[in-house]
Amino acid sequence: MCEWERKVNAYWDNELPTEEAQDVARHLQTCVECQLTLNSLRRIRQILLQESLPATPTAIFATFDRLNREGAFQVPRWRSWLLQLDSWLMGPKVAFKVAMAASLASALILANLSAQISQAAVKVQGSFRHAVQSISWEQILQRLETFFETSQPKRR
Amino acid sequence: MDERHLLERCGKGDERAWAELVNRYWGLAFRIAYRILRNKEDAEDAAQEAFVQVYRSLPTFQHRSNFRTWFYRIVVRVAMAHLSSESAEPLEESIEAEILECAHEDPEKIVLAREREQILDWAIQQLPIDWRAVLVLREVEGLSYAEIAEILGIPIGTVESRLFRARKKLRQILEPILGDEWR
Ligand SMILES: [Zn+2]
Repeated sequence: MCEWERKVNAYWDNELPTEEAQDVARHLQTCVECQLTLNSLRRIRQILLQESLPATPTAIFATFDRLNREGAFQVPRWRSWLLQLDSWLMGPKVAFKVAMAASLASALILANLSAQISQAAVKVQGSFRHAVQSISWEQILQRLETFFETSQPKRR
Repeated sequence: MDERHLLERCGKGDERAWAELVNRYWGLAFRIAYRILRNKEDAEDAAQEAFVQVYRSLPTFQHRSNFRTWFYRIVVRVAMAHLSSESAEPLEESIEAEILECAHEDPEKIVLAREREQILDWAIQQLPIDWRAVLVLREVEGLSYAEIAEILGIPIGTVESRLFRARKKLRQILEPILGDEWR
């Protein structure tokens, strides 16, 4: 290997002082080995940048759930229960769960949370989760929060 | 909401601000963790763990320092710790199943793309964990040697030598396998 090989790396990274960089540039004009090195550096970056990564859900609720378990937030119990329901619905034994979800959906309608949620709940027919996807979790939690707060006797 | 304001509210335990922060940075955490660990489940685990740590140390985060640098540091360290604690999953998975799933696409193309990714997974797994971290921060995140040194808490000279060795090794592995594709 050419003794300039390592410098070509720093040159490629723009980490050399101007003068040294000029030396390397001059050397590159005549050294085939270093030209190949530079080419491989270009190729490595290209491969790493072009790689397609697996999709990941924004695991925001999982993160909440985890923080919750670790006691970071003082999250009401019904709320963490909802978060668990979400992951439970995603697991096996779907048919049974769908039945459960449907009754939960009716409960939501009965609770008469708001026109928007009721509509979403009616749309369910199959899966609670599916309906929930049409509005954001944040909205549901917000509504439920209001609902629970107004239906429970206030402390203080 | 600007970042400083967001961080201040997160530090005070504002759940809504926290949700926004996770939304903004989840992708970044996952990408870095994935590129170091080369496994989806491990990367998601590590990203989550990183956010738990961010949440815990936010109150002590100094606003004079750069959040991104601080965040990189946490994610990279968590990912590195994750790898040393767990054995990597075997890469061999059913390619056939994937072909059936995307029947509308050209199966040969899928196999090729899939094989290429497996080759890359495998090649990167041949590198020591601290070389991988330097490689990802430089090649994908585009950070300077000085920034990487700060994030990893190592001298700039070490950044340079790890990067040099990581690339040399990758070239040794990939060039013969990819053949013409390498050029
Ligand atoms: Zn040379």
